[in-house]
Amino acid sequence: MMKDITIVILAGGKSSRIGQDKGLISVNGKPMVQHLIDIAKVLKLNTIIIANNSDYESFNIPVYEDDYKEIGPLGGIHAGFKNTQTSKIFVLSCDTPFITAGLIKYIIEASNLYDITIPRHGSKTHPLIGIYTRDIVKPLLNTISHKKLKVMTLIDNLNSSIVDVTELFSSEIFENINTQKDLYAKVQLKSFGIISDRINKVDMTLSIPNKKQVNLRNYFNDKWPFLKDISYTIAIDQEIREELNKNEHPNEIAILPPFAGG
Amino acid sequence: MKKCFKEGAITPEFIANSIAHHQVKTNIGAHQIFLGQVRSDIIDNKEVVAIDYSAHEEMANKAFHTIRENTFNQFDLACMHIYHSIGLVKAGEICLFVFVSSAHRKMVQQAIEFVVEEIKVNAPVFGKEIFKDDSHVWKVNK
Repeated sequence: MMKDITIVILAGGKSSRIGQDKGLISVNGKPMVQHLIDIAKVLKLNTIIIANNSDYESFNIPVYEDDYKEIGPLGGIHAGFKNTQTSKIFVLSCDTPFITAGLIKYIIEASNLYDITIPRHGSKTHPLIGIYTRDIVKPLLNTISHKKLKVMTLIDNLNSSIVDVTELFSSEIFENINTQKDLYAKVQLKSFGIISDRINKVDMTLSIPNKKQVNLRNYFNDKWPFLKDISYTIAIDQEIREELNKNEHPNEIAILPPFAGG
Repeated sequence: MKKCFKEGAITPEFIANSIAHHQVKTNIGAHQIFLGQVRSDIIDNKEVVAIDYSAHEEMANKAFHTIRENTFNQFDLACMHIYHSIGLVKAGEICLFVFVSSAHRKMVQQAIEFVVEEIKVNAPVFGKEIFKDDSHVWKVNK
């Protein structure tokens, strides 16, 4: 059953909010699209990428352009079928880098009787994490010609299954990255005393990756190794603490050397 | 929030005026004053001629505010003032002026010690000890 499936990574979308091609942005140390390629390798599934940017060719995976550009994911799904021979394709959007092999397997196993099978987690359905059979190509083209460009419209009109995975998988694996703000906290860094002497700046702007919780002491010690030998205190928005929470966007972070008032 | 920083040294005139302002408050029976003075330390055979104070001023003003609140909660005071220098203060000049007042002496004696210790530990103020040859080291409170 697994052999008759190709993974189709959709990377054709515009990334105007990020200003860089989304799938190429690094998350936790590697491009988002690489996360998905690695999962496909674990599952031993053939993979192609649908993109209109030749930079994706560096991943050693076949890259195809879509015929229907500027119409959103339906064009990518169409290109997925056009450039594969398997009877099913598993569609993944390049901006969901936390998807797991377990989820993909689960959806594949639940997909037997349906044209389209996608997951729902809580109240959110995810049409771009799902399995589509070749039988839908005709209705897909029909939908496109009628300018109905929402994937959910197609799903609603076909023999589709929306499997509830709320209890089985954590919501975090469905998270998608849409903006630089999702990846970095851009904060004003204030340093004082001996530390600003050594950094050579009093005020600077830092982009700290905050896709997961960050221990700022470790982060600063890596960035400026001399800090390891200095006793200092960290204040986030003037509150003394060291853990920058996931997705937290404070206005300022201060590095305070030993106090010497009085 | 009260601003506690004063540019440069705190002058004897400023301190004298501050005392004079309290003469109308006749419920007060005892004042206690702490004055921090820039000491001319000898470090590696070099003499400190001044301290250049800097601070995270907003955070320090908040710290002074919290110290005030804690002090008023713990001690029965009529009033209290904290002034700290920012910028250059020469050796021998005053850089910290804490002034507490109460009806009786025991209160102010205990309060002044508490306030000064709290300032040393909790106010993000930094001191650059400057030598005659313009080199410097950063002061650390003991």
